[in-house]
Amino acid sequence: MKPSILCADRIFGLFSVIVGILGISECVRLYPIANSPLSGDHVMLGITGGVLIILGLVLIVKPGKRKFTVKFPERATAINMIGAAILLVIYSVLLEKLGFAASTAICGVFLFRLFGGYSWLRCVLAAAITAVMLHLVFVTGLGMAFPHGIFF
Amino acid sequence: MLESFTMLMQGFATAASPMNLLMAALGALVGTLVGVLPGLGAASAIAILIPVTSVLEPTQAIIMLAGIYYGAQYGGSTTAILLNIPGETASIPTCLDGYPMAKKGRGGPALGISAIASCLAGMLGVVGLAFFAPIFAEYALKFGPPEYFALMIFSLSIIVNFSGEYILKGFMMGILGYVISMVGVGITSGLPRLTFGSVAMTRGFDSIPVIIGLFALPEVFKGMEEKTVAISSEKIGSIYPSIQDIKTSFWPIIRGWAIGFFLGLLPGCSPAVSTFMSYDVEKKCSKTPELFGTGMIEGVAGPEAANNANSQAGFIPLLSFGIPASPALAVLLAGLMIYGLQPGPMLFQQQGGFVWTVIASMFIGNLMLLVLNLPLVGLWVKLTRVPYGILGPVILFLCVIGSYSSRNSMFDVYVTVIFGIVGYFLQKYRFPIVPLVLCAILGPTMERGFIQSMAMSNDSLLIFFQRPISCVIFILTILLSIFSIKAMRKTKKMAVEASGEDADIGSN
Repeated sequence: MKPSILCADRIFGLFSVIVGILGISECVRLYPIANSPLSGDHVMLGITGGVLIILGLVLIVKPGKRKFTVKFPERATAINMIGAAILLVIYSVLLEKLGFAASTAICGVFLFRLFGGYSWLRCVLAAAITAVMLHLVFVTGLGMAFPHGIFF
Repeated sequence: MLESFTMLMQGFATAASPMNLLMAALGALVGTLVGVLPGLGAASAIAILIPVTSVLEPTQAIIMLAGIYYGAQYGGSTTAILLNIPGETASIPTCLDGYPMAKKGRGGPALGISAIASCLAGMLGVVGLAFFAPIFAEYALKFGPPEYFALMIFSLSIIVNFSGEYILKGFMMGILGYVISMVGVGITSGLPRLTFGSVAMTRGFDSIPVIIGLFALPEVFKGMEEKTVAISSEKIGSIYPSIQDIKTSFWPIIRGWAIGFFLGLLPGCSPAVSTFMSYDVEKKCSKTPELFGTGMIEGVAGPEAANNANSQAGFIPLLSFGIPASPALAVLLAGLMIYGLQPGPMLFQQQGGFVWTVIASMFIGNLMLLVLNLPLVGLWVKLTRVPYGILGPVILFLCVIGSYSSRNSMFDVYVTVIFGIVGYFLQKYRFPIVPLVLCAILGPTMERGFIQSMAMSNDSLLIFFQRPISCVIFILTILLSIFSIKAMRKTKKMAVEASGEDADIGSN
C-alpha cells in the first residue's frame, strides 16, 4: 500500500521531530549548569532529542509500506466510542466536583447506555449498583482516598 | 546450591503463612478471571491493581500480582479452547487443536490437560528459577554503574522482540518512553526539565497511569468496536482427562516445558516463540502429524506447557537483571520498583527473603490454580457469557480508580485518558507500545548509570568496553538482537500460516 502525504508514519515522524527539538532545547538550557559535557541532566535529553530528530526525518522521508489494512468502526460505533471517551473526561472532572460515588453513578448511567444499549431504567439500576459496590470495595474496604466533592 | 535450597525452604515457610496463601489464591483467581473475560489483559489488570495493593505489605502485594500474571495464562487457555479466541498470539497453537476437541465434545479433557500441563510446567519452571536465578545473581557485587548502564542497553535488545517487524518504530517508541521518564526534576541538578512551567508536570509522569492508558483503555475501545458479545459454548464433557490422555500428553508436556523454559531464559524471548516451536516439535514427533489441527491432545499439552514454563522462566531475567519478557512482566517490574525493590543483580543479595518467598509462592500458586481451576471450570465458562455492555463500563471505572490512586492525583487520571486515546490509534496502526512502556520504566536507571559512569571515567565512553562484564553484556546484546530477529521472523511466518492473517507478534 503506497503511503499518503499524511500517513500514520509521517505524522509519527513529525511528532518525533517536534519532541526531539524540545529535548534539544531543554539540553541547551541545562548545559551551562552541568559539571562536564557528558555528566549532567542535559546529556540524555540531547542524545534522545538528536536521535528522535534523525529517525523522525527518516520516517517522514521514507515511510514504511503498510502490509495490513486499518479498519475503523462504522459510524454508530464510532460515535459511541467518542461518547465513551468524552464521558471519561467528564467523569474525571465530576470526580473532583461531586466525589466518587455520585460521579460514578451519574457517568455510569450513560456509559451502560453507550456500551450495552440497555433501557434507561436498567442503566440507572446498573450504575447505582456499580457505584455502591465500587465504593464499598475501594473506599470503605480498602480505605482509598478519593475526592469528597461538594456533598461531604 | 545448598544455600539456595535452604533459602527456598525458608521462602516456603514464609509463603505458607495464611495471609500469603490468601494473596496467592486471590491473585490466581483474579488472574484466571482476567484471562477468561474479554477486554482486560494481564498487563492492564496488574497495572490497575498495583495502586490498590498499596494497603498490603510489599511481599503480599507482589505474590498477588504474580498470581494474576500466571493465573491469566490459565484463563487465556480456557477461551482459546472453548471459544477459539486466543487472547494473545502465544495461545494460537492451543486453539488449533483445543477448539476442534471442544467441538467434538472433548472440551473438558482439553481444559483438564491444559491445566495439568500448565501446572506441571509452571512448577518445574519454579524449580528451574530457584536453580538458575542465583547463578546470575552471583555476579551482583561486581556490578557498578557501567555494568548497570550496559544491562539497560541489553534490555533494549528485547525491543526487537516487542517491535515485531517494525524495529525502527519500536526504537522510536522506546526513545519516546525515555523522554517521558525524563519529565520532572532532573536527577543531578534537581531542576525541572520538560515541564514547560507546569507545576503538575514537575512530579513527572507516574508509570501506572501511562500503562493503564496505553494498555487498558485501548482494549476497552477495541471491545466496543468489535462488539464483543457473550458466546455460549457447547457441552464440554468431563473435565478430568482419561489415563490414555495423560499417557499421550506426558512427553509433550516434558518437551514443552524444556522448550518454554530454556527459551524463557533468554531475556525478552516472547512466549509466542516457544508455543509455536513446541507445536512444531510435537507435530514432528507425532506418528500422525496429518491429524494435527483436528483435535490432537498433544497439540494442546505441548504449547500450554511451553507457555507456562516460558512465563515462569521469564522471572529469571526479570529478577536477576530487571529485564521483562512480556508486557505483563514489564508492568510487574514497575510494581517491584514502586515497592522500592530494584530488580537486578543486587536483589538476591539485598532482598533474598522477599525473592525466595515470591518464588515459593509461585510454586504453591500453580498448585492452587490446578485445584481451583478444575472444579471451577464450569463457573469460568459461565463468566464468558457476561455481556460486554456490563463489563466495559466497570473496566473503565477500574482504570480511573487505578490511575487516580497511584498518587492520589487528578493529573494522573487526565494522563490516563490522553494516553488511552493515543494508545488506541497507536495500536490501530501497530506502533509497538511495549518499548515505550519499558523505556519509561527503565529510563531513570539507565540515565543514572550513564551519568555515574561518566563521572567515574572523566567523560570517557571507553569505560563501557574496558570493564569485562559490561563489554560482555554489549557483545551479548548484539548476539541476542540477531537471534531475536531471526526467531521473530520464523514465528511470524508460522502464526500467519496458522491463523491465516497478519499476526502482530510484537505486542505479546
